[in-house]
Amino acid sequence: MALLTANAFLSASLLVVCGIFLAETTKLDYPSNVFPYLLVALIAIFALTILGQTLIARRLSDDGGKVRVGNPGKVVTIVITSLIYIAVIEEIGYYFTTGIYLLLLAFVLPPKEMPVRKKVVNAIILSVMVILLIFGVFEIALQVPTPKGMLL
Amino acid sequence: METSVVDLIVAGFINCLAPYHLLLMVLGVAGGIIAGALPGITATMAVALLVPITFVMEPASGLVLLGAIWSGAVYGGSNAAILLNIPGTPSSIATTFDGYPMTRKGEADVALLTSLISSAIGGVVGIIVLLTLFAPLAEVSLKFGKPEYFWLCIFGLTTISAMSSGNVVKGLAGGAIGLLIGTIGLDPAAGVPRFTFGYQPLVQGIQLVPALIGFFAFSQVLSLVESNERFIASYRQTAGLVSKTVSALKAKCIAILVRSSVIGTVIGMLPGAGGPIASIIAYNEARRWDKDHNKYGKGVVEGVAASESANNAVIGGSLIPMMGLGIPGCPVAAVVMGGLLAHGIIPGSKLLVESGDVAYTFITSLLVVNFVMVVVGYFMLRLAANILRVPAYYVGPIVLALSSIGSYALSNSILDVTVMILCGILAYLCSKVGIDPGPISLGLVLGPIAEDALTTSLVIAKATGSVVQVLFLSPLSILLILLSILSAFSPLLIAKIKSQTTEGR
Amino acid sequence: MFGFRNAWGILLAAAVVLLLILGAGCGGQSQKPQTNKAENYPAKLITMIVPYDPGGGSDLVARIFDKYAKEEFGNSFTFVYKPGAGGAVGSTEIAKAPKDGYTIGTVNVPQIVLQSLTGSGAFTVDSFEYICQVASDPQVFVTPKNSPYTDLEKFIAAAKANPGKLTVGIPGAMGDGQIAAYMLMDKAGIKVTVVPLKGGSDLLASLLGNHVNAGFANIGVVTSEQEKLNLLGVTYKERHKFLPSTPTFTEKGYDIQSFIGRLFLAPKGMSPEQVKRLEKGFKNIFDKPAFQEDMKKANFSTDWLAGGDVKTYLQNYNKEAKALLDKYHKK
Repeated sequence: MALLTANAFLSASLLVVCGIFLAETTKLDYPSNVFPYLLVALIAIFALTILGQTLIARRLSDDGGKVRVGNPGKVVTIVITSLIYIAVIEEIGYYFTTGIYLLLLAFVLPPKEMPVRKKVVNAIILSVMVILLIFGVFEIALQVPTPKGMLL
Repeated sequence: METSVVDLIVAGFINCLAPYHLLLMVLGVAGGIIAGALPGITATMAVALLVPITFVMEPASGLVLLGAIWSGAVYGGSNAAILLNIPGTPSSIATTFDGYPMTRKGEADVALLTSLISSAIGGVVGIIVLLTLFAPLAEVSLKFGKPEYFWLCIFGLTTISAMSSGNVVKGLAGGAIGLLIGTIGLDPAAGVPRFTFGYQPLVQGIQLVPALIGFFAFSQVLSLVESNERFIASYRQTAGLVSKTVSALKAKCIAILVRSSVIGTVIGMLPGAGGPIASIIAYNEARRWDKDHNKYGKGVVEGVAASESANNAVIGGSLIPMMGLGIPGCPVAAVVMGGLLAHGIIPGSKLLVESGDVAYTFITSLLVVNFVMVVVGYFMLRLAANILRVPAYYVGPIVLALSSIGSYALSNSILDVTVMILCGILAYLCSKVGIDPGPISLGLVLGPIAEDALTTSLVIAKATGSVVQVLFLSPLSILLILLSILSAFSPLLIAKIKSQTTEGR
Repeated sequence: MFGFRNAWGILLAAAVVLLLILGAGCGGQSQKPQTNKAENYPAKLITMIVPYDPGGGSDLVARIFDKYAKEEFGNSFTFVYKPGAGGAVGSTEIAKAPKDGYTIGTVNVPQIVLQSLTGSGAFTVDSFEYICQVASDPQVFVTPKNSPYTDLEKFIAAAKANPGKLTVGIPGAMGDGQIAAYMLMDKAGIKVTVVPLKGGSDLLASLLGNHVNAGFANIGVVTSEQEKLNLLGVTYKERHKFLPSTPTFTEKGYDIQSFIGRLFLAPKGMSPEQVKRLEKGFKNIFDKPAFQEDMKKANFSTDWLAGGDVKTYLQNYNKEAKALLDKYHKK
């Protein structure tokens, strides 16, 4: 995607956020509403400035470079896995879910060239060690009550 | 009276140099450094978790332990900031600006040692000020009213204009996004929920620490994955590390260390400001006073020294109003004060009369602990740097798992983990269009303080009848407003002057 | 490849060090699930939800009880901190907790009432079973030492002459101070500007720095710095043991009683036998001289109220607070 298109997206989404917060702010009284109004106004100004800069740049036919995403497959995998992770964590249990999350990431992230057997072995070693570490520190030493869910 | 204070100080020194107390300091500092280095365990949390343990100890010993953990954690926060670009505690946000670029340049251990020595110097300066001047300074700290806090926050926010590497407008927009996120939750003036969009749990607001972990750690993992590099940075132990670092500090940073330590102490003694603001302002001042501004952000020791000396100086500073008036200067000081109360020691003007022995053991131990920290920290520093030998594709999952438990453990809430991940995705998308996490986090740190200060000023102004009078016309406010204007526009002016001189040539 | 393996070793060593250091202080407690019978209740660890940060006032009170809980209940408590939104998050958590008798919590009056009124907590006064109230700290109405308002009469006269011009600081929006300030406005027929600050320390700083004209401060905050302030009145039914020379509002002719009560409570639906057993246990601890001594050292003023009385009190307070908020607080 060209950076200029991304800029247009940015200012559009900023304006949408402004709109949403503006609608909520109208329900507040003085002086609670002063600070939110101030922010909404500022963000709107910034969004319009970015839009203006973009239009000027386009007229000058300055493409402004591209937005580059390296390894899109892996980035999307992390994002999606993380979203699933928080969705199921309370049902299944903190340590088990985190373990699976680690295992999956440690399997997916290493480079293609690594033999599958090695990937699997390393992923298991890593997950077990990190989970034991977290369990030891947070569950045993600090007694942080994590959601246990169905498993652990 | 004069001799008795000296006697108390000497007795305090003797007491805190007892082997048992030195051992507590070593353990506390080591534990604090580790806790601080882990994203999610802040200095406040590390100290708070240990308070119940000190109930069974002698008051003085318990306080020595708490002080050691506090100092260690504030320094430890810089480790993750330098090595992974993830501030381990909010106080080390500014350390990422130059610390991580140093790591990328292969100077990780130089950055870590700089941070360690600067932290110790800052800590010592803060405590010396506390020991010598706390009574008059405590009174001075009261001069800061809500309007002054508001302008202090604005002054902190002007840092953004200097910090933004590319487009200044985008940096400012990032700051405003951070400020806006900070408004979610309870309305500080009316005490009712707002911007929760019908989702009741959001009433707790977007907590600073999970959001910061997301902004830095989660998005940093995504960047690591993108870069496809095998290691975060090439790292080889620097030969003659100590002499090299010390001579670099001597040559370039003496003025910066002194200035930043003073800034840290002063901001620390203002209840309601704290470590993150101190280190950001110290960083910005270091940059501004330097002839060559442009080297900042590219990995110079000056940046690390400024930020880290300031945040450790906050420790001494934040104890000034606590010892003098019973008003803790920062969240960690508030926790320590809870610990004091539990022992039946009441901080405030009568503390030194009624419990002088315990108080002075505590204060002098905070001085001694800095020297312990240098020794312990030096041994742990190379160990920490070894994280750079772990392939980046395994560092990623480790960081994500620690981020998750860190966010959760803060207030035992899954919502905080969700906030962390969503903030991470947001910061990643923003970085794609040229908005760095720095300005957003700055907005989030300062937003709630600024808003509270502004609305309270407006309420007071309503009673006295004049907004202008209350908000703009006190001498301190005028000073801070002038400083803010100077800070906001100096980068633009300097750029202009520079371009003119180069054109002239 | 050597470097990589080496790194694993170091990581492992770091893990061990971490465990040792963090584990050294605490030492794990093992807990065995046991059968759940009424006569041997409590048969296992009871979880205590504290809706505030560790080290705060509510935590300290609960911790002092915890010191004696082992001999009374056979087990100490497991502490779970759920801070956020001034306690509303944790209180919601208590209301939703399992009703098996093994999750209780500690909250403050009047926050628990006010949060349900403002909608910041998803609960009402009727969402809980009340075990007891163990301490109550009244507020003290104070002005800075150099203020012209050295007694209550002078302040009220000045407020009558300049409606809305005097500022009264309170420790936080929608807390006990807010209601106390509205009570003063109501009973004395005056109008002042209420300034919500960020906690007791912020209020003390604002008072000592002369940024507000007066304030409703918690008695614990004021006691240690009393010579820097004028103490105009205490919101208590009689002269308070911490400040025996300070008059009460009632003495001055204004019937204002307001305090922070520290409560222990359980989710609605827990069996009455279990609630009774806990109430008895807390009372036994409360009556120990050593306990009273600990509370005094930490500046808490102990005040026993049994569970049933707490409930009646809260229901009345709920009505009163609602009327005051409707009258003085903009919606």
